[in-house]
Amino acid sequence: MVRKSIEKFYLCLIMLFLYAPILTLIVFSFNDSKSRAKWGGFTLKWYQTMLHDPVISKAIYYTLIIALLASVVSTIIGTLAAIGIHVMKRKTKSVILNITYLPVLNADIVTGISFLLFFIAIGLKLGFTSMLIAHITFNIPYVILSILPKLSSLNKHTYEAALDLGAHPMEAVRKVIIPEIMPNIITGFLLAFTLSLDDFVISYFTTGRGVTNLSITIYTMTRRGIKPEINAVSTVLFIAILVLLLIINKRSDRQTKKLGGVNV
Amino acid sequence: MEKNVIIRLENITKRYDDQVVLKNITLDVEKNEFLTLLGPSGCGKTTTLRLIGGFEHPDEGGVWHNGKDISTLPPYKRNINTVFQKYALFPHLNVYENIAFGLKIKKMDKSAIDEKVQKVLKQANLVGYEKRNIDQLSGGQQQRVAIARAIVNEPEILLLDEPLGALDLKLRQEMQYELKTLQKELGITFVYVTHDQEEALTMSDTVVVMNNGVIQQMGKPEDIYNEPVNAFVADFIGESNIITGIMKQDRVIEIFGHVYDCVDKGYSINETVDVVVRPEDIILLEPSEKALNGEVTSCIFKGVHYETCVITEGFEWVIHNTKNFKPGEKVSINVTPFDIHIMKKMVEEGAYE
Amino acid sequence: MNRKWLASPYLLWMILFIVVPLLMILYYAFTSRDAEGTRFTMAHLIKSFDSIYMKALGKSLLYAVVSTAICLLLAYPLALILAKHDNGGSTMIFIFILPMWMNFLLRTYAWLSLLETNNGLVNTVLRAFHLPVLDIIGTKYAIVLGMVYNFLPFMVLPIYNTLSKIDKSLMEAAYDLGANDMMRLLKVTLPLSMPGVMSGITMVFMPAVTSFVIPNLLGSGKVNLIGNMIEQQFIMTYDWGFGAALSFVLMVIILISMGILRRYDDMEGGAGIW
Repeated sequence: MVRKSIEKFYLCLIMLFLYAPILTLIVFSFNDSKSRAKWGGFTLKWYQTMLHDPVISKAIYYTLIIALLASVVSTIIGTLAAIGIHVMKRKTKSVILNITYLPVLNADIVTGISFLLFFIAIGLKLGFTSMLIAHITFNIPYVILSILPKLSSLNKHTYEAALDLGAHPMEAVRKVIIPEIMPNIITGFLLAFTLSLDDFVISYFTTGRGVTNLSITIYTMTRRGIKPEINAVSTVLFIAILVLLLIINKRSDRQTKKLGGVNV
Repeated sequence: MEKNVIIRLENITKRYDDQVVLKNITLDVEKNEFLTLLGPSGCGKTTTLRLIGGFEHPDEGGVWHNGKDISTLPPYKRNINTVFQKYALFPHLNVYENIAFGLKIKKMDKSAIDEKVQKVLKQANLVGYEKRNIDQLSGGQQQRVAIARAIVNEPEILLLDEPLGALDLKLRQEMQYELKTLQKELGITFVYVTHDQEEALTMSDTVVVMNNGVIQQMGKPEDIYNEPVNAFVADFIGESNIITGIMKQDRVIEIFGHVYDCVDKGYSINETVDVVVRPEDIILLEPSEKALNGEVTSCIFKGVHYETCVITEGFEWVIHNTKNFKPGEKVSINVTPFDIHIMKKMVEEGAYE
Repeated sequence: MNRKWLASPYLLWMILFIVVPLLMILYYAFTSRDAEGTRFTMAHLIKSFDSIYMKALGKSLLYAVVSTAICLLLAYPLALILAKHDNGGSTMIFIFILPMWMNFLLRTYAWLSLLETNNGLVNTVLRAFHLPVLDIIGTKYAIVLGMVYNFLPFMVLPIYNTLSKIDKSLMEAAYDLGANDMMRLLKVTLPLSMPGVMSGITMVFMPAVTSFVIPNLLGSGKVNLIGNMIEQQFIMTYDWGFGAALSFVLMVIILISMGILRRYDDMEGGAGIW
């Protein structure tokens, strides 16, 4: 049918548009020539130089460390926050959620600037700590966003049942609520990690003293001079993100299937 | 406090935001009885139950357990357990772990826990289901796990919040019987909440009828059924025909201009009262001159009986009998004096007559 | 011990690191410091109304509107097609969303590389076919292209989510009542997909207006949008006060646009991003 072919054609067109640049980067990461247009043969040398390049290695190191620390801390704070916010009265809840989602809704440049000014005002020199604080701050809302809906859909009596059976409130949270929301906690963690890995604008404004991350390094490179290793970096990043997303996706698919079977 | 009273609610008032949910309730629950709180949605019965369980605190008044004031004592410190409306089973634990939960909190040792859990599994007919996941159980099975999880802790009082609501009719009737037997076996007090009056009448030693945060009547099932104190109770329990009548004198009532003998006295002369007649107490005969005559409007087969509707003087009577009448047939309404119940006229909030 | 106190570490964090920083913008925007001390001033704010900045703002809004419109035109049919065939589970939509998660700097750089006038792949191919060369790096076309490329998935996802949640029986009812495909699209599908469309517009327009990386890279720094202006105040001229004032103006514009668009958007459920 004509309709179906048109649809398929359109899908392919858009897919081409979306993936062309990415695929070009990946293909050229194996190009044995610095040219961006001519193929000079297959090679893995850019991957090797990438690993040995001090600038890039430093960027990768900081990116991973910040992402890891930020996601761990934001997950802890965010989980406790979600549990607490869930039981608040509607008005308080609404105010707090509105403020919480400000970093999400605000332009990242405004959020970045606000951090910058804040750190200057309190006299914190820009560097690792400031960038970490900024990352934790913009990660927490996403953790809360991953967990809060699940809390709303839980049977509200399970917590009371735990109390009824003799558990103290903290025990009840630990033994009943946390296990039930654990999948969402993990999703929140993965989400925070992914966002931190990828961040540019906020990191750009909150870092200093040689602390950098991958995105910033790439930005500086585009202004100073492109190194061909950048293609290798892109490929590695692409695969990493792909894997992370597959994991997140698989988990959420499994969860929706599981919920279909519960009849309480 | 009397020796036999295990729970006393005294002058309890409870508010949610601006709404008063319980108005000055006083209630005694006796040891080892099966007491049911019965009423429509929003009457306050669940709130009352939660006050006993410790999930709510009274705004005024107090809750006493064996003479001790427990009004603000948290649930985990009360020797009372609850079976929740939707069972509230822990989804991440299997059947055994759900049941053992309370015992583990008390830090009992493994063999003691195992002994108690096995015993309760037998009582609840769940032997063999220990390792099952909650989402693999049927509604009836989940319900048993909820009961098992509560009683394994050997509470003095078991609270049940409309536990049979989600089950189908046959299962519900079986479970009513099982719960009653269980209560006798365990020898503990059950406080049960339901909106189903048949359930309440079947299982309870004492029924407390509630409406709008006020206790309407409290007593044995037969007394509540036969001697409702007001129109609400009469209407809520069983089916009834409620008519306005005039008390001519002691033991004589006038309805729709017809005079009948009855057995109640103590009302003022010509006092306007509510008259209740149960559908199964009405006898339909051929129309006669002195009797209250009317016309059949419908007759529906209900299995156990026919439900016949007869209209007289603008009022539609509901009658249960075993005869099949045809719409349009002319009949007369007849009742024995004993089956006419007189009640003080009640000003009903939100009644549509 | 009420559970709500579990949120207190977060509340502290929130006030310290979300509320106070935003207040800092206000503080810097409306004060100036010199040898005499700190005093209230409107000078920064007034400066931001200078024509050069207003022009940049105007350009930003214009580019954002154009990019958003193009994204909408491209995304809506795509979302329709995907929603129609979504029995393949989430795989199809996953493929189209994946690029969104790729590092956005890399994606922008990739286009820079592709479109480079002399050595870029695109132009090399065009030259090989003796076709005219695309010399668009450093022009508004490159910037809009970059914006559309980067933000297209953000438009597709919410529209797709909303479309796939439309009860299939509504579609059947429309047929049953005599509507053909086009009528059904206009009278049933389109109105019902509005929340998703609004969500998508929000998620594209806002980053587009405030973007500075895309103009920097694809515009070779020749085109100045408001985002660039703000960046320059902080990275080059170190005029915190003025930069803060510009940020404040931007914030206000965003809040206004959000307010307009939010009437159609649902926050707790949302036409989600994940």
